[in-house]
Amino acid sequence: MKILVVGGGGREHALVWKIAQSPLVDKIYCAPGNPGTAELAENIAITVDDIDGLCSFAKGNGVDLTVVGPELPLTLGIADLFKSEGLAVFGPSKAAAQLEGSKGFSKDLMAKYGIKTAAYASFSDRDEAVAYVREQGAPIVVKVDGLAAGKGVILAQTEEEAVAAVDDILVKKVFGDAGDSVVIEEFLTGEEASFFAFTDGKNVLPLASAQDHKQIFNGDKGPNTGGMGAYSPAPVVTDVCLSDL
Amino acid sequence: MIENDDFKVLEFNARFGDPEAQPLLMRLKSDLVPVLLDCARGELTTAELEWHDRAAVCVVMAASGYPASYPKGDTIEGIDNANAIDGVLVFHAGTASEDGKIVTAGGRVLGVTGWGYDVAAAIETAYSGVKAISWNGAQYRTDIGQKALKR
Repeated sequence: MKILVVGGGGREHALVWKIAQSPLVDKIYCAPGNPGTAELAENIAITVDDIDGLCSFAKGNGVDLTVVGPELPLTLGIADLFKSEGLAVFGPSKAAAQLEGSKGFSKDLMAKYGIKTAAYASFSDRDEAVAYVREQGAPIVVKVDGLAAGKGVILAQTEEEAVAAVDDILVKKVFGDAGDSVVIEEFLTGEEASFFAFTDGKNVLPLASAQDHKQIFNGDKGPNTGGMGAYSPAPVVTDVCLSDL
Repeated sequence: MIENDDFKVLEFNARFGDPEAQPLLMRLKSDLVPVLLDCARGELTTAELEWHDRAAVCVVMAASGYPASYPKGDTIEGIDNANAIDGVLVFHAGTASEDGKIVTAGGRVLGVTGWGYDVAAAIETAYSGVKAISWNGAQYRTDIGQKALKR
């Protein structure tokens, strides 16, 4: 079987490494890949946002399964496109990817279905956002609505920092179109953990527990990043948590 | 976000986390491909995944300046030496090949992942890999996994 892995980060190198161990697999392509994936797969110079290019490659080369790593092509509709062309693809539809692609959408969905989350409000107007910050006080969290590679979350310790973040996002457009609106939410205390599950849209298969380290410096200090390290298993995810999840 | 066995959802991911995928996939014993295929076909029937008992820790080595702007093209030394350490796997992220050398080409450059019989041992393995690798201005956290030890 031929497999195409879309992406070129550490995640995709790990996916290629794991997929390469499967007896079902004869050939792996990785687009665009990196020097690490090149040792186990054939790197293909197609960027992750060129979903048409990826689709014609998969068709032209008899790819049996495409595995999508990053969020960007998912929000561009790579899964919908591949499916419409009769190609098997691991990754959610564009509509489902909005769960990650828009923080406002995701928060509204959590509110609708009673999923426990931080209190929040969404704004596209700078003055209304600032008024909300003043009303709620600090510490408070300001999030870019769209995708920002994990960097669109500002943990503001003071109202001034929060206002500066709102100005950066809505006025100065530091995050471009991703920052057309902001989600402002309650500052939660505690320990962050990650819980992943495979799904086909109906059935759910959970993975082991893990914990990420979002901030750049030791002791969870400094700005958020895409992630500076992770481990598994994570004892913070107790059986009590799991049964609730 | 978890406090006193109670949790609130911070956000959803619609794909594998990065770097969480590195330690998770290292620990996964089951063949990944049938699971991915079943998900794609809408017929996920696997009831449970098999995991290695061992723990895994991934330490991200980043370019100086990240998450703000950072330089590219610095030559990375020691990847082979790190991979030669028992239980260490170096996953590439923001790297490129240039004249037979591996150079930095992104903010998060490498995910140095290590095995251990528990998290403490995996931390030791992962950091032994990190210490074998160097480039001009490499930065990384020295406390990855420590929260697990406080429990």
